[in-house]
Amino acid sequence: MPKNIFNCPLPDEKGYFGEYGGSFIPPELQTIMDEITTSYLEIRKDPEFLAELTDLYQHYVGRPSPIFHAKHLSEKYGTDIYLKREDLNHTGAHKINHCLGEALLAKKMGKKKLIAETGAGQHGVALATAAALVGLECDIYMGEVDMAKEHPNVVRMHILGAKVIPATHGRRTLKEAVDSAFGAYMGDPVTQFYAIGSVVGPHPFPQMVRDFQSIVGVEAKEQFQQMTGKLPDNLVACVGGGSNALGLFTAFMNDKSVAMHGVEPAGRNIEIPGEHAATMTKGKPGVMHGFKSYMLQDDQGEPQEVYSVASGLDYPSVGPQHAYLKDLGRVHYASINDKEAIDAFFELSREEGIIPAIESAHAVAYALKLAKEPNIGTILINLSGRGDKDIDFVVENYGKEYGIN
Amino acid sequence: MCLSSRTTNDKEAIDAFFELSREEGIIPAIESAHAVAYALKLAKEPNIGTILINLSGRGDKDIDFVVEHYGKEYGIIQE
Repeated sequence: MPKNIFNCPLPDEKGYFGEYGGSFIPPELQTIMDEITTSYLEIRKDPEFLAELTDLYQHYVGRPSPIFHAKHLSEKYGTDIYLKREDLNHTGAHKINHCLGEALLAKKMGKKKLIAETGAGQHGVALATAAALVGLECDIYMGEVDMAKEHPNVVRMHILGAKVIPATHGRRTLKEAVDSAFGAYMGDPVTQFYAIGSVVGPHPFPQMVRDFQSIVGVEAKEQFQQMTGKLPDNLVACVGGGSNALGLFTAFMNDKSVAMHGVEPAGRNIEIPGEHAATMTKGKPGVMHGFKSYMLQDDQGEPQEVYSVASGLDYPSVGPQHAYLKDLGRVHYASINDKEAIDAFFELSREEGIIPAIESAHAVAYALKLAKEPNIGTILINLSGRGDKDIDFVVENYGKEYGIN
Repeated sequence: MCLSSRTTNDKEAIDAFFELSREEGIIPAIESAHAVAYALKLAKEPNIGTILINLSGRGDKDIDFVVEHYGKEYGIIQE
């Protein structure tokens, strides 16, 4: 059994991280959400549940995922760079960590169907997988644009027996998928369980998803110390909703010597609204999708249109704990644009033989920038997902620049 | 332990491909699905005991092919 897996003191009992988080939903939904909170707070202390989850982490997901010392990049940039290999998990990303937890909880609560939104399709595939494993039906809502871009993940969900329902309004990406899934959930919150795909949404989801993901940092802390005798000097993770970042960061939160860097997508142009999704760099506090956090809003206070080359980072808000950590100054948030991410995608592929998800390539790109700073020390990157889902898109749009005809 | 060679046809392998995907959430390579298909046959024999299958590869490389050729039979309708 992993030690101190769920030991973070926040949020408070109403789901607040400082002024962020909470639950801003209609009263009938609040009743259901309270039941989920009660059930979750029970099972997180239940040894039987923890044993079941730990067993699945080990034998189904393939945990612990290794840490790899990227020697070529380390030599090239003059500082030691390490990768936490969440891309090696079953289904190819960190998302399976919380999907199994959510699916087991839904099953224990007697729910019949898991529903969720997905951006790049990683959460959708992971949830469809968890649904197949525990024996629940599964409906996944996905923006029509993302369905075309991440076609292999749509096919995977179909094979796994899930239904994929396109979101056809607005920009037809992640935000619209959340709208559609939320709408469907409102229609029947009793037999369905909305398995939110990141550390976002009303309480208890930011807490629950973080708790299930925190295994990443718990492992990494022990592995890194075994490998080097020290703690890492820097942690780097990409932030869309922010689940893989909190997964890595949580276990190191009280280690003051460890600097933490969250990397947002600067898209095509961070200075133009609608051309990026750098929520904390450019946004301000507001309420959307049932919780308070930083968000990108237009003049009317409506969610702004957002864009990133990485479908999984393409979201106009961010997990409330990230908003809190930003104000606190505990985590430093930076941004990386499309071009820098694609450069890093090819650099990691060709230097280390690891094709990263475009999302994770944002973290790699920032780490390589950081590596050029004097006396920066060691850098541990959360390589949150593999790039197989992205290869066609990348080669079609950027292949030529990298010698692929 | 018993060492022997057996055959599995295409249809049986594709059946096993979907069965493993939908029962366990694991999409196997079509190659490995042959082993799964035979194991499921074997499992029906009386007193067969435990079975360890070598799930030699993942099915990501096969998904487009499988859905294009067999998807309909397994309820997958592509737009």
